[in-house]
Amino acid sequence: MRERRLNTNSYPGLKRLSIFEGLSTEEVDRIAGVLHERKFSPGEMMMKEGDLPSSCMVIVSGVVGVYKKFAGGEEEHLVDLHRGDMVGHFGLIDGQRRSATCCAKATEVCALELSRDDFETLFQAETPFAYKLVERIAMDLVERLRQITRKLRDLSNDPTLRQRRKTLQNMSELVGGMDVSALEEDDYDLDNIEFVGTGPHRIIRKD
Amino acid sequence: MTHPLASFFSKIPIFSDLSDEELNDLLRGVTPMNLKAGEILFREGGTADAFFVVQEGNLQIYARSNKGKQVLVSTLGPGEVLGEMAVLDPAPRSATVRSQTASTLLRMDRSEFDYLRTNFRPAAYKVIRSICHTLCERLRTTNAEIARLAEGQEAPTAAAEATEKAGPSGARQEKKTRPLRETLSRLFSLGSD
Repeated sequence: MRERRLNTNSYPGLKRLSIFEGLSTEEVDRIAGVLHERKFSPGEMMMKEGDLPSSCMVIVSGVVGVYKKFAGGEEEHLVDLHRGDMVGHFGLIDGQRRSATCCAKATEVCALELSRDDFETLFQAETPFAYKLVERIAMDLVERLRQITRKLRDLSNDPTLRQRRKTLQNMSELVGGMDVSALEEDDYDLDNIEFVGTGPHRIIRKD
Repeated sequence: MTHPLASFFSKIPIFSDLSDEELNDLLRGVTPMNLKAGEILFREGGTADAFFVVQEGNLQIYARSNKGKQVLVSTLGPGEVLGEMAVLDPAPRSATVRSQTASTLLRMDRSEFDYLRTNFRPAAYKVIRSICHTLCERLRTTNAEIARLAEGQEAPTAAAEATEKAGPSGARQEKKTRPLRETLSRLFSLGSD
């Protein structure tokens, strides 16, 4: 892995990245001072499942493979990420351990790294970039939770998975912020609940 | 001067990171509203144009079952926040909310919140960050559950155990687990960070 400090003159493509959209050149310049450009050789690990998050990265070029270990011990390939995608950004928010491993695939990957400490400093300093980043994280979270809810619902309606239907539905409601485990089977298909809220919802059993 | 509702708001988790000044900023956009017992606050399918904090009274959340029946799924009381996802997600309301008792709510219009947001006010972004924190937790919990399912070890929730009838033989179970596992690990990729 090679690393060098970044500046906008040496990096004219910086402003074209979606995370910098709408920011003034001065703002981009200011942020560039805390970002690190990092290059990973093909196959090189960028972050490791289980590690504590110290930073997030935005992909500038190359393809990043995301992998997760399941109980059998084998690592499974989950998804590929590309230019403009972010990795590790949820860790900026909650500080939890990495949920997957990211590696550069067949080509070199170039990424910009922001440390958690720098993010915190920028956020406390009320920097528009930090706010835009939070907004981006929020949108990614909403989109992912929405996709998962949809898929879980499809799965729960899959006749070959009938036995697990209740569990899958439970999970999809959990994603939507609603624990409906106390409901009776008849009243179960609450297909339309999504993102009712983020608070702990008390559940009332139907009478 | 500190807003009279500042101390009430500061005890609510999604506002607890806000300074007095930031709370004042946020509270300028908040208007109180009263509901009579039985009155509908919003209906499923309606535009999500505001979020609410319950100051007094109780509110009931109803969702529609597959048979079209309205089912009471939750009750919210003082200090609880309702509809805050409207801030992040312009999707229509997914449930109907009705006041159980005479209630006082504090309403923040999405447009008021967006004003704070477009002006890069810390109040808005601290709230969004706090909502993100909850969503992160939710995503990680879900991912953990999916991973458990993918491994064929279902989460031992009471509900799941109660509804699962006498299980099939081990061989059949194994046969069933395999495609489920594949489907779920694909699903997992949507949620991985």
